Amino acid sequence: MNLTQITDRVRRNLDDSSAGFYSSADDIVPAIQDGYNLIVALTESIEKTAVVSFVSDLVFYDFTTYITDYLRIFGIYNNQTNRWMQPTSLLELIQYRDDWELTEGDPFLFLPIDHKRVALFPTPTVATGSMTVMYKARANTLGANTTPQVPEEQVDILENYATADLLTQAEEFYKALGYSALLEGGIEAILKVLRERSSPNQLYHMQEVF
Amino acid sequence: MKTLWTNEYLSDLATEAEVQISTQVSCIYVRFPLNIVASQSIYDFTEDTSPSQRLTGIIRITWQGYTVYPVFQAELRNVIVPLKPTEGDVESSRPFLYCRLGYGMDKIKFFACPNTTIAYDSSNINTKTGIRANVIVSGWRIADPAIAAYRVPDYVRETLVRYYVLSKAFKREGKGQNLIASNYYEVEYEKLLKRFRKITDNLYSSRMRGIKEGLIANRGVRPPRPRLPANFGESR
Repeated sequence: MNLTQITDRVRRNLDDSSAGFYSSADDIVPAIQDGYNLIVALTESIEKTAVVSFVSDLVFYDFTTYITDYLRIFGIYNNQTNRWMQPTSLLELIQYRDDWELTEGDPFLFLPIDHKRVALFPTPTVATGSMTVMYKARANTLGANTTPQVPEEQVDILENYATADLLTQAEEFYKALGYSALLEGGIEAILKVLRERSSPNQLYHMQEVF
Repeated sequence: MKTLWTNEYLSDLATEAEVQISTQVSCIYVRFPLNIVASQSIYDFTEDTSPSQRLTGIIRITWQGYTVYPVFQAELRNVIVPLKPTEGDVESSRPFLYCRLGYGMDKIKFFACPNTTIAYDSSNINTKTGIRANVIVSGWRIADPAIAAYRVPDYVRETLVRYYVLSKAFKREGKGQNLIASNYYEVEYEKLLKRFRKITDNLYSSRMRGIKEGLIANRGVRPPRPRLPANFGESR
């Protein structure tokens, strides 16, 4: 279902197909885009990779300066050593070395800090090569024919968000509550799909057992 | 007729919203250097750095790259050295402990007292060269919407702030008050804040609340009392 189709469904929910009380460009599409931005951030449903060059002497990388739609990290592959880097914690790094930021070498651990920054351990003073960053991405801007990147069976979640949002603008709060509840259920359903998808392949495990 | 919601009022609410969000969810990470003066052990985050910082929690302090460990005042008082709050500074070496409690909301005390002056240089604190040259504090801070870097992450900012502002604005006494609307936005705000906290926790940042491993804690706060055998001291 693309943006135009979702817009039509929102208009139908609001019984606005002929009245034209809500403007597509000013009311409905911004509400859908707003919902899309929020739902993608909350469910982390878009996954991407990007290649980022190592920077000489740099310990704390702000990935938002290298990757425009960066949301959060979930894996790094070091292309220089051809090894996966492992996530770690601050306490573990301090146990390695009191002054772990000053350690010299090819990175094999990474420390996620916030929604922008990641620290690498150790780091080369003169850097060569690159890393492949696997990250959760922000929502893209929807065009008329763009299909939102959420699980297909839950694509009505954007319709529910936009309908609730536009009903509140008309001060129809009781009606909005119903769509808000559907939205909550939709977020939980997407999180469940993503969680189950990332669990081990059941068939593979069956083969292991038998 | 008196205007119920002026731009100034709504703007104040928006600022208040970001401050509330950032105190309830640790989401604004900062790193900043301190201006260190020899023989001065107490430092103020609102004065000894620029721009001033209001932290909700310190993650890490490094002294030219070396970890400065957090210590509770009781540990400092009973285990390290029995200091009075305003004296007892031992000017001997680079500090290896800091204490946050007892010196003001935004102040810390270094132990031992710094024996060198380290010029403040905020130009390059994310590289090894910068880390080696500075005393750097990293932590979670309270939002300051006037500065872009100190705002709540933009993927939830617009919606969360809107819910907060509307819940407060509709509650205000006067013509236009709508308690149903206020209640609706309050519930939406709480639900979204809960989800925001959950995805922020997914980043699994570590925060050191006190030193529990190694250095000090295993020594306890009282001298050890060895349990002697029942026949200790008896002559045979």
